[in-house]
Amino acid sequence: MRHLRFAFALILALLAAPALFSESSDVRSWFRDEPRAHSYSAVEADVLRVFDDAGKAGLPLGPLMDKLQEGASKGAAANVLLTALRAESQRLSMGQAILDTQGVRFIDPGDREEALRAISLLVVDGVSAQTIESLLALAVSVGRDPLDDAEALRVLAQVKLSSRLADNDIQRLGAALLKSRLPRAAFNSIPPFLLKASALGMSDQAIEDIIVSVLGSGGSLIQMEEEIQKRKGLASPSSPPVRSGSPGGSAVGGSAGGASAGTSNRPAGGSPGAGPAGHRQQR
Amino acid sequence: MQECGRIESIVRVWEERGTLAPSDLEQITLHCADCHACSKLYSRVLPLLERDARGTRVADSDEPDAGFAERVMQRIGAKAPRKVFTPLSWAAAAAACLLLLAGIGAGVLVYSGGKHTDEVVVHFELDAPGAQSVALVGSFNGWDTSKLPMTDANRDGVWQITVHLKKNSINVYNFVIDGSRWVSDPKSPAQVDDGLGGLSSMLRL
Repeated sequence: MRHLRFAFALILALLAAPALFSESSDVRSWFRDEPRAHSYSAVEADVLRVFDDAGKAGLPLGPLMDKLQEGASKGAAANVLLTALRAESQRLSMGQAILDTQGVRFIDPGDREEALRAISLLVVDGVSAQTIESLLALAVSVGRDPLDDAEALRVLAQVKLSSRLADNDIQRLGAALLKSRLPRAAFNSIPPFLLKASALGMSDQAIEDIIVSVLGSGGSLIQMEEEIQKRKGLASPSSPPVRSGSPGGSAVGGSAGGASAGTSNRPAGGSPGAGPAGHRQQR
Repeated sequence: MQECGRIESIVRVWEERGTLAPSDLEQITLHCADCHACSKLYSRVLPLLERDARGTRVADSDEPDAGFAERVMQRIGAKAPRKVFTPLSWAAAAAACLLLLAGIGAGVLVYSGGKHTDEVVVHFELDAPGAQSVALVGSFNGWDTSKLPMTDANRDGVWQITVHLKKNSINVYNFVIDGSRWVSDPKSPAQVDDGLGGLSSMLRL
């Protein structure tokens, strides 16, 4: 019996070991196999240290690998890429500290990674750690599921990146969302609603006021629509939402500049919940 | 063989009555010393025969005789078969482990399949008249500029592609024009600083 148990443990260890080390070895195999990696040989040791430290701290390495691939693909300078990786690692670390402090635990590591990605994006766009922490504390106090928290963070990240709302506005909106009776699946409707109202000419602040007041009074998404129509005296548009967004031709990456490209605004043919004008989604 | 038959009869009588005369025991012992078959056949009962020939049946007594425990322990030590792991048993153990792991793997697949196979079909368009090529590049394809080339089938300058992306995910992406010019999606409202000196677009599904 002892032999059998030993054999079982040995086989388990042999099979589990590669899985345990696969994440951190991804970056090493990237440096070994990726043709573009030679441009970053000067910072390889530093990059590996960022990954190793993140791994030891229990951070998901997916977002870091993602940033490494993005930087290399865009031809970023080695020191710029290293700085971006360190910054991403710091944001993930901060996000993890917030989740741990508030006792937000996810069963699926993928959900945790997505929550950390959302926190990172919020921080990139100027939302403070205190705001995120207070929102998660609120979510815990009202008994929201961790998956609700993750979805709220994703929605708020999209809202923040799509609007000119400030840190305190995001806090108000997030608090209203989490305290509302809206189920998680309905959180998804907030960004398209914001776009739609914005297309009607309302300011981000005015739209946020409507969302917060309707959610605060226990109202629904339909009531938000009605409130907007009442205030603006306009009917709901039949065309999909169009938002000017950033000026066309935003140039990114090393030598890129002055691109003349712009997305077409063809009818999405979907619900107002379809994505931004540059793409459309079908579920 | 005739002798063997006689010995068998004595043993049968002992089985029925539970008693054995010392002379019968002597005959059995002598016979077993010469007959290999009977020696093998009666080796297990011989100690019992010896015990009963001495008239000290355990069943009739509350206490075992003085040497009973010692004899039992001796016999256990002498006769207990040693567990030997043959190649077959190793193979069986390995097969059991693999089956167990396969079961766990299948469970994980079923669990993750139910949750993450949900995909969203997303159609991307970029108005880029005059471009020779346009590619969609993002976190969903490892930022590989060769994996998702867009097409302009009717040559109207509108480049398109439809992709399947994972539901409940945050995706960051760019368009790459003519292999070198990186642009964010101009009409996507969600733009994010990529930390590399440029902008990307964000799509939450």
